[in-house]
Amino acid sequence: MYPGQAARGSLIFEPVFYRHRNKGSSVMKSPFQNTSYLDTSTVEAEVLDWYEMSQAERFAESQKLWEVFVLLGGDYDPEPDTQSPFHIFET
Amino acid sequence: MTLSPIPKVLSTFLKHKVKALLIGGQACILYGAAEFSRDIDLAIMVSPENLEELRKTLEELDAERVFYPVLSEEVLLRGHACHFRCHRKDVKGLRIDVIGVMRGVDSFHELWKRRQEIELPGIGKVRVIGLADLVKTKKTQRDKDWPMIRRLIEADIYKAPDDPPEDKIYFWLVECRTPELLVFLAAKYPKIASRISTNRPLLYSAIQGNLEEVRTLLRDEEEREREADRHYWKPLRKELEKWRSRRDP
Repeated sequence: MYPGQAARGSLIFEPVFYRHRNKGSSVMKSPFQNTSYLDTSTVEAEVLDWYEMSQAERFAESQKLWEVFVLLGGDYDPEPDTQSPFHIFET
Repeated sequence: MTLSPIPKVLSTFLKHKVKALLIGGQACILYGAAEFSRDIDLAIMVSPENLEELRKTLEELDAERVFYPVLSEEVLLRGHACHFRCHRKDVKGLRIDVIGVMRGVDSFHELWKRRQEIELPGIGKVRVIGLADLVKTKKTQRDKDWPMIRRLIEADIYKAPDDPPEDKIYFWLVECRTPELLVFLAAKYPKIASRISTNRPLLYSAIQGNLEEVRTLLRDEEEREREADRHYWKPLRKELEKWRSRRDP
């Protein structure tokens, strides 16, 4: 196993959101990237794109995803989470 | 024009000068660990004046309480969260959760000192919990919080300069949850890793390059934190049940 292999496929959000993003996968090199395992061979390009952005850029991109959320009839209620301390109070 | 209600709500909080820090999913977006969150979580300073401003803000957003408890200084200081849903047309449905005290992190006063202020176009200077404190708040009993911690640290490392300051290296070695990255960091900074290993024994294994042992010990660390979180919430859940059954406070 090469370093960082476990990081593959660790996307947290549904791929549909990625398809609606404007950014491509033109990953810029981080100065630290040369010496770490965090590059496109070990981490999804979309994740590296996200890491590469500034905080304001991430916020702006996230706001664009609301169009998809609304289009898909997204629900504002949190997903049922039996591990939440508030779970029984939210049902 | 964005369909997102988030900027409108954040602007309203800024307008009323509520002393609050963005935490949870929205903070994770800013720090690179998440791409989307459907609600807003805030840590707030618990004081009569600040709660008054908070109430005015919630009123302007036409936000009503959902679930228990009722917003008060007392319940916030006991560690409870208060939950609201907005009804104003342009933010309709959005959930806002506020909390005053959190397990495993310093007081709001200390968090405020370490806050990050992020200028967001069209909104203003948003106050966000510091990264190291955000990581601590994510050590919960919930599965979904642990991959967030992993990504928070990865994103921080990815953006780091070639020659990161020692306090950054220390932070990564203390909080990193990616086994391969821990082994990499321990090899690159063996002296610092060795110093910290007394408090984080899995760094011994990372220094030795024992990836499997690091994985096992990371799982053990996680389970201990999950158990501590369950233990923390046990009496609070009892209080919530009591209030819900009595319909108070």
